[in-house]
Amino acid sequence: MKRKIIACEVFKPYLEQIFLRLPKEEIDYLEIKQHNHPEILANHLQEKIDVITDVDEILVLYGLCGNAILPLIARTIPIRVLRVHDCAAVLLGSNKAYQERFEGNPFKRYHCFSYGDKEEEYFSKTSPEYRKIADQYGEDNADYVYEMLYDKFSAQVTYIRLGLEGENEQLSRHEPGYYSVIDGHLGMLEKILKNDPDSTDLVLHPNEHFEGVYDYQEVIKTVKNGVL
Amino acid sequence: MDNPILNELVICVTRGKVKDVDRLCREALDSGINAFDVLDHGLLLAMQGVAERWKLGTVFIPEVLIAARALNAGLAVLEPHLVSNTMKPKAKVIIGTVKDDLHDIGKNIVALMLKSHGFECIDLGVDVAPEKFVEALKNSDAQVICMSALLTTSMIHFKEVIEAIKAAGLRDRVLICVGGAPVTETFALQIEADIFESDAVTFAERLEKRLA
Repeated sequence: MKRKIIACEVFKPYLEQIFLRLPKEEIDYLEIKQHNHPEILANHLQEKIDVITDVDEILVLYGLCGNAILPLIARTIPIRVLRVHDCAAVLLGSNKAYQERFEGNPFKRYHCFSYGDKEEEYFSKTSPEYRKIADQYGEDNADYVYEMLYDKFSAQVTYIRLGLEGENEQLSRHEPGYYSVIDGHLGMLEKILKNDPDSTDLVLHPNEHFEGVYDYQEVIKTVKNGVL
Repeated sequence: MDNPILNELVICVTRGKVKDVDRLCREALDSGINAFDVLDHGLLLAMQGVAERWKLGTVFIPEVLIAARALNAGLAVLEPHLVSNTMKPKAKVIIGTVKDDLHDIGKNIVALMLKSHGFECIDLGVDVAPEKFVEALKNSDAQVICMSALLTTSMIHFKEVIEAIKAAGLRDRVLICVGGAPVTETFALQIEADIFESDAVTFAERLEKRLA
């Protein structure tokens, strides 16, 4: 089966690990953190999808991601997506692990190696992002943003560890206890790449659309167009 | 409305200059500008500009927070001039972020804009269980409930709140509004909400028209 793969850059280091075991495939990566603007991400994804021809399937390594995938249209080629809320479920290896970690827990902030020092996820008073805001809007405003975006959510940031080189160094940048470290699993990513029948995915065919279910099991479903 | 004080006020709100916003609001009032004009053509105009740029992705959450904070400072100056003892609030609104969600930036902006437009807000905060919404409704004569969520994992709680309101026999009494980045019009229809709003800044105006 011929396919094209589009993926969020969050998966890049993990896919590179997987491709040490599986045949390497070319991946078109989109910049990380676009889920903050789901409509923009949806447009970017659709633009990428619409120029693909001569394949049997387009594998889009995204989940709901703030509902960014809901508007996607499979014009002539089916689109396979991850049946998850976000990348944390993928890196934890299953929706079950994700539910165990996050259901009933309002502190859903998580971090992983590929987020690196991205804005908001790593917003501390020594970060370049803090400095940028302080230089542009004053330290008083930077302190306010820090309090609203960082301090409030700083309790129990989950760090999903997958055994990559560099993870320990990243963890050591914060004071002990800042992260609650949990070991993830790349099984979900491997299964979707291997077309495993047990894969946590969903295929959108032409004349169908996605609908959010928003639980921890089904998460998303497909519905025939024109059906209410 | 082209006025140098108001023009400068727009810039200062956008740039988060809290002290200047305070000063300019006082100067505007002292110069004889009506408090509602200072609000509409100064504070709210600035916030609408920030909201537009947020939608386009040219500013991010920090800029929205900074502008909202400055707007709040201006509102504190204008408030005594916007309301009087004889003025009733347009309506009482219960507002909260649903269970399992701590995000409140959008909710706080909605509450701020509702206050600016003469509504009384009962802010339940974040991580609000369905029964808390119902309790607040029972204990007040609120006509509107606004719920928000930023996480798709929290969206399942919207329907729970609506079902709890129905079970309490209060559904006909209240207008239910939902919003938040992942919320869509389709979703709002599916859960039988009354209003879906994607724009925290313009929601108050829309609610005003709906209740008129």
